[in-house]
Amino acid sequence: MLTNVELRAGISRSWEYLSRSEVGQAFAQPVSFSANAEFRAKSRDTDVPYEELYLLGLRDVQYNMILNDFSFFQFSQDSENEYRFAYYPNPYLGSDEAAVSSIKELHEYVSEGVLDYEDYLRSISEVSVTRYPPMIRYEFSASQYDSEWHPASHLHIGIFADWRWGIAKFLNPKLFTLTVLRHLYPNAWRECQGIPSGDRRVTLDEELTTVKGQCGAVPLDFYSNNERNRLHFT
Amino acid sequence: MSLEIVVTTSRWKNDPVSRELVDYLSKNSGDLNLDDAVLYYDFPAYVDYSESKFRPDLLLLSPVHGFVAFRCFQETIFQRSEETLEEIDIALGDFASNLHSRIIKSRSLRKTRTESIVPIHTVILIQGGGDVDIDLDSQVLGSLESVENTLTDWGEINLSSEELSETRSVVEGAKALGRPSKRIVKDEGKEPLAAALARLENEIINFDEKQRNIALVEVGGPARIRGLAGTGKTVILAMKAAHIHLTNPEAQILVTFYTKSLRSTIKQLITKFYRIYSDADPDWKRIHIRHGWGGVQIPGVYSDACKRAGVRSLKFPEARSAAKQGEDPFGAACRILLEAGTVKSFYDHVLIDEGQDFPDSFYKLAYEITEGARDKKNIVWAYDELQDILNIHIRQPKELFGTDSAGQALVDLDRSAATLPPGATNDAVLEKAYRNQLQVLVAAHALGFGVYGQIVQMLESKEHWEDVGYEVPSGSLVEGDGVTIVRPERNSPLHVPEIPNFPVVDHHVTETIHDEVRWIAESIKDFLVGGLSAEEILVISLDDRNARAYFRLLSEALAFEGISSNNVIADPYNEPPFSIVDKVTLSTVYRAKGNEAAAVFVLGIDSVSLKSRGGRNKLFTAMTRSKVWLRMSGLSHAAMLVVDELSKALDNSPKMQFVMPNLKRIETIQRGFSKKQEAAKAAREEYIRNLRAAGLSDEEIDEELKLSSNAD
Repeated sequence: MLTNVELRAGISRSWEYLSRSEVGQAFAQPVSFSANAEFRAKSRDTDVPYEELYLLGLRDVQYNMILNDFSFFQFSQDSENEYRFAYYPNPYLGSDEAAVSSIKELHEYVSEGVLDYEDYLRSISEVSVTRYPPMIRYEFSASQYDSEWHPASHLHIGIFADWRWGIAKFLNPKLFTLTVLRHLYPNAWRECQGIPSGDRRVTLDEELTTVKGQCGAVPLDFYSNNERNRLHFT
Repeated sequence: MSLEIVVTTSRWKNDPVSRELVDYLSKNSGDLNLDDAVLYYDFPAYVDYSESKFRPDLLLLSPVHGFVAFRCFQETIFQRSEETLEEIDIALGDFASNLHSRIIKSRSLRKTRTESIVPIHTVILIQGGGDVDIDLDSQVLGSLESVENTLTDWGEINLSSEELSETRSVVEGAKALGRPSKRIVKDEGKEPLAAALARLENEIINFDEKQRNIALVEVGGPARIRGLAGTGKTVILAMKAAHIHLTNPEAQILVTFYTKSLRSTIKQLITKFYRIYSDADPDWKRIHIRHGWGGVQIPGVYSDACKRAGVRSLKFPEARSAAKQGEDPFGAACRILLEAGTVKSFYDHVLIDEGQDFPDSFYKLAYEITEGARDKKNIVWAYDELQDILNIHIRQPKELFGTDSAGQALVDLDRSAATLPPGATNDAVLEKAYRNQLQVLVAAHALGFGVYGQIVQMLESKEHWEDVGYEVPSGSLVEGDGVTIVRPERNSPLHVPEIPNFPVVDHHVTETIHDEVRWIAESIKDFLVGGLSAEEILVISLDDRNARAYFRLLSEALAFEGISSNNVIADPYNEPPFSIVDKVTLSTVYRAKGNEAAAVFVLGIDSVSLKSRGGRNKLFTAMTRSKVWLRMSGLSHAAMLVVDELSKALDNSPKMQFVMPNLKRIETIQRGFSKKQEAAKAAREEYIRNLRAAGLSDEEIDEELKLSSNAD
């Protein structure tokens, strides 16, 4: 269960994580994201490859926040019992160390005035890696819950839609963002000098522990004992 | 007064029968009462869902007679025609219905719900024939002389000049530029900015007859369109593409541009113009809207040409390392492709927007990919030397397109002008700027040239200032003399009155980026409260080095206020849309080129070098994106210098006053006319001055000019 107020606060706090760890490029939308018709249609179309979907999302600003590597996050909510968070990796840069460091180098050229912005963007567009992290989606859907085949709280790893990893917790935007950040941007995570929390500063690991503690367990009505007996996230 | 002739396709040259009728109507326009009329050749064409096209040979629009649509034949030709008289009559009837359906949509042209005030007659002219015994809706005439009697028989309707102008704008497609949905202002008091914009939009006729004429007329060879920011160059090219596609659906058309974010704007414009005449969308296999270079994910003129030539396209680092000294990477890429010698012609029409930004070798490539002999190549390029943010010198056609082995220019506008249709020009200059408020444009020019700081560039003569819509009361430009230049309201006709708390121009100089961003975010909030939509606000960073940091902070500040943003530089792969509903646009000056917004924030003005032409051109380009409100901000002393110049410019507006510098010492922007064109233009300007001195209004002067150009 997630209220609209919690969602908005979670989105803003997520941006803080990305910004403080210096991976955030722009905070485009502070409220629940609603995809346009074309993006929705392509998301459902199993013939559309991931690259095409990603490029469309990028072009039409179908995201709440975009990262320096041009990956992006979406946070959307239809009701307190229906919501979805997604991370779309950049399929051309991935988390490839060499690619990431070449981008950093290009950033430096721009800030030194050696490279103008268009040439910087063109240079990035010509970098291409063959392996990249999977798209990651978290969904909570009370209406679609089926104790045998469709967990209410679940994670999709990759673009394949019918592969759901059940989760015994309600995720909020903060936990989702921190989890992605820790797994896919470990250097930024390690180098982050901490973030303000009330009147003190905490590390991202401390924040992760706190946030995880705030995420309640999914009740039996939406996560049966049978499901708990199978492999799942807790 | 005289009949205005608008020839819109090159079929004209092979259609002696229609030419004969045009000649007859033109020579007898006085007797026939056609002095205020306009005669279109091959225009308009309407296309229905089945892709059937309805178009007369000639369409006469006369305030005295209404519309007369002609199909013209010689008796001998008609005998061989595949069309029967009945089929021709039905097709003319279909055309008339299509035209009527457009006219009736205009409230001021409606008599009743189903009847318009402009009658539509159809005539089948069969010279040497005409004696038919079939009952047809069209009038069948056998001689040119019989046209006079028929016009008389129909009686007079006498449209007012406003009604004629409205009818023309419907026929010529100007309605495509209206807002798709009317702006709704609930409370003018609470939303003064929205109310002001609504009034401005009602006032806008931002596509005047001169612009429409350039768009519609096919000159049958190379042509150049020059004009400053906001004079409608992109709109003209879009309309031209739509019109060519309508009249010749098989023609392969290329529309190319330099700024990636311009693609969706151009596509929307072409679609809007096309849909005025057609029930279907354009066939995008025939109209290619292509970025000059292209990219890994997007096609481009260069990369397409490489594919057709069987040459691997160069990546940016390769092009950069292949570039000679002073050559830009894109220029090198095009040069190397041309050197391969395998480039193939492909397009029937090539339309180049933002021509000032392309390297010479791109023009040479454009020349090679265009079909036809050298003076018949349909290449139209639009450019604005003041928007040249890449610091390219002003280049003439000979330099752009190069020469043949005998040293003759491949493109010579004087030479190809020999075969122009009546009333056409292949070197148009647009003086009227519709986008900017007068004081904003004058201030942008003042900062662009540096007239209140260090002059880094200058127009070469009084005549060139007049080309860009100024008057020079102080006379010829003499080194060391004081110069006064004034922009008359008629050349920047759109005006929004001052609204309390929302000056047209404002500025903010501070010491930290955070404070600058805070000021912008708060001002944006005020604009939104005042009734603007988020997409009507554009923020341009002049500071390339810190653009990412600026936009990260600004997007955050806006998001914390609940405002969404569209950072157009956060996409290296696509040609992203410049404007997205409910999002404030964040852009570099480079990506903002060719685009516009009601309120424009120019940040990071301290980063601009006031001693360089490139720096001042960036300022000019950024400032001229604003339709109404302009905000400028930056840090410390360097920003203060810009603001000082801005304040002086605004205080003096609509005048600019300066001491004429030594042209040899600074960059002079050349006028680029041939001597012949220059003499003709000087005579025309003198004529206009005399007419104005004689007390004629602008409309009357326009009429006089039409008269003289048709007499030519």
